[in-house]
Amino acid sequence: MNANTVIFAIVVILGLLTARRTSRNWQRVVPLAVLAVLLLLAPRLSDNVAVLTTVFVGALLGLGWNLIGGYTGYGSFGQVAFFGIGAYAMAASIAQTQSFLGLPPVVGLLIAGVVSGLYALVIGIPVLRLRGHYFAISTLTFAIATQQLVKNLDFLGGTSGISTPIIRQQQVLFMNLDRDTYFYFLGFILTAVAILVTWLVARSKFGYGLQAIRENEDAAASMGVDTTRYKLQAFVLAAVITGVAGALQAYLRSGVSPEDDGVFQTRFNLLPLIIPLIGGVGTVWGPLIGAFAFLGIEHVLTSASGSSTFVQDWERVITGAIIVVAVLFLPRGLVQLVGSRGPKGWRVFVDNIRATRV
Amino acid sequence: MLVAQYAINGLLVGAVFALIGLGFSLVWGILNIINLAHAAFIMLGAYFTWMLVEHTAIDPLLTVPVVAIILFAIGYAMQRGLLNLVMRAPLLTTFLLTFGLETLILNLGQRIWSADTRSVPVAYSGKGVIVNSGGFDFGRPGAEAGVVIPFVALIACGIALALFFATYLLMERTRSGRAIRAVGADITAARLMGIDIGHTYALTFGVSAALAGAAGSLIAMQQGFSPATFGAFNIRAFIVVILGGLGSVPGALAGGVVFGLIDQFSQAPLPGGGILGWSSLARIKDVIFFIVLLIVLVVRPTGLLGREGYR
Repeated sequence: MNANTVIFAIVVILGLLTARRTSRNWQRVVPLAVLAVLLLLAPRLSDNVAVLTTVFVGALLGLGWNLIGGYTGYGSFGQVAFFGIGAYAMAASIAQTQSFLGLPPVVGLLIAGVVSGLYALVIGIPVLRLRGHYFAISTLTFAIATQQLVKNLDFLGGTSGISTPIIRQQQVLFMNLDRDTYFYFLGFILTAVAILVTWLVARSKFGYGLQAIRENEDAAASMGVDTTRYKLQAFVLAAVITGVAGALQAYLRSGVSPEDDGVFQTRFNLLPLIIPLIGGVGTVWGPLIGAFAFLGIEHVLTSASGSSTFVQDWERVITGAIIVVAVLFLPRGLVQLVGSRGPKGWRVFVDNIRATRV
Repeated sequence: MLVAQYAINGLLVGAVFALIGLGFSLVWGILNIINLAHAAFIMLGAYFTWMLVEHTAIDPLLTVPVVAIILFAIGYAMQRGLLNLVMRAPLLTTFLLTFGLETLILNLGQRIWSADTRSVPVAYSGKGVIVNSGGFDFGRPGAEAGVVIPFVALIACGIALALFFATYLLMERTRSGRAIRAVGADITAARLMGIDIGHTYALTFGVSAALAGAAGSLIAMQQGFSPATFGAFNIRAFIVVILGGLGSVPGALAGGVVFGLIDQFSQAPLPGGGILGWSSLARIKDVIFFIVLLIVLVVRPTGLLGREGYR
């Protein structure tokens, strides 16, 4: 049991307390305030703050997918394409070698978001005409096509990718932060902004329109929801968040690679799906809870095995098993456990199965 | 001559792709599931063939029925035990479940069989029918050869076509096939007629898995493979089905052949020494497939034959 394991567990519990349905606002605001304080102090409490930074990358991936897959009901299986595009945009912006731009990282983050969003706009126009299975598997195809295209474009470094300067420490305002703390707070701020955006969307007319599309697209259209525009906006917004996650990854890892262990790896296509699934699809806090829960399990496995090779070897087998179990027993995620309606305790799992079997 | 060679390769490869598409299309049409574990079944088929040949030294062709039966059992059990539990859930749920199963099985395969490239030795590999201006000949092609039809690919194509015919007979001429079609057409009516829905679903899924397993065997005889080879097959199956039209047996065959032709012709050298430094389009094959997929889906969603299939 190390400090990080405790942080993971407490964040999940506080997240669930924040997400639950209560009659009084303070019952949710207090856990949220405690959560914010805990995450702000985490670099001091943690034994390895770099681990927590990767959780923010995961949370951003989950938050991005959640807007299109969760709220709108268009399950995209190709978010890794936007992650990779964002990472490449960032790397090409900040790299100082060859003909790259050498811009400051903040500008790189903006460029990454814009480029991913534009890419989603171009792809979304044809792909969002498709529904259900057709949409899902087209996005899967498109992710593979994107990786192959990037790998074969020589001006993006071809098969070797792009290297960016390694950050050792960074001057922010009056503080001189070391590498790990700097990236932690960068991830923290980006995740907080993405949660805020999700919260605002969920409460807006736009958000209700998206949920109407999820429940019944034809009915939504007949009630005056501009479904084409709403879907496209949600897809682009999701891609922007995912692209920023990719940019953070590229910045953190000092570069990008188009190979199967680089920014287009299967892991970054699985995380956007599995994280909201575990936390709660189509909820504001689900992705954050899911990121800390799922990556927390991985962290515990790594610590328990004493070496990281165990998790590396078995990671995707475990991921697959977790997806299967989660889909079967808790398809609405951990937040279902703190919902005010429906069954309590173990009945939750049994009822979930009963509801859908033939 | 080169064009004829690409066309023949395309047709031969296309028959195996068609077989993959047929199983995928069956489950999609009847069960309304996109089975992303289909590629995992193909992988299992390939590795079961490899293990049987390694341990018993029988001819690889004889492993095809054995592998098909094993995969049928796995598919039946998987549908009965797992997928039947979520059949009434939203599309995303079944999609995610098969995605999880795919991830689980492919990576388990990687742990069991390692990531090393394997191949199944076939006695007559490298030989074929050689067609040139002076008639045709059997044997190993030399430098002067015209169009070559490799024996292994020819036999694989034959087996694939036989399995196509068998599936057609199963669906059209047997009681089980009629039950499957009835469930696909109207599940409530089928249930009222006394059809066991859970069993029929499992049967359909089992047949689909068996076809995927057989396709895996045929692939194993023709190329080196590792577990990672198979990840791309779901998308290929999907494209075959989209090209041919959902749930249609003849459509799957047509889709497979068109897919095989695109696959082979993308290897043709580009005019003028290449574009963007690419000597052929094979390097961006998946991009081409994505574009073809979009065009077909948007312009002609019922597939090239435009025929309604089982669903």
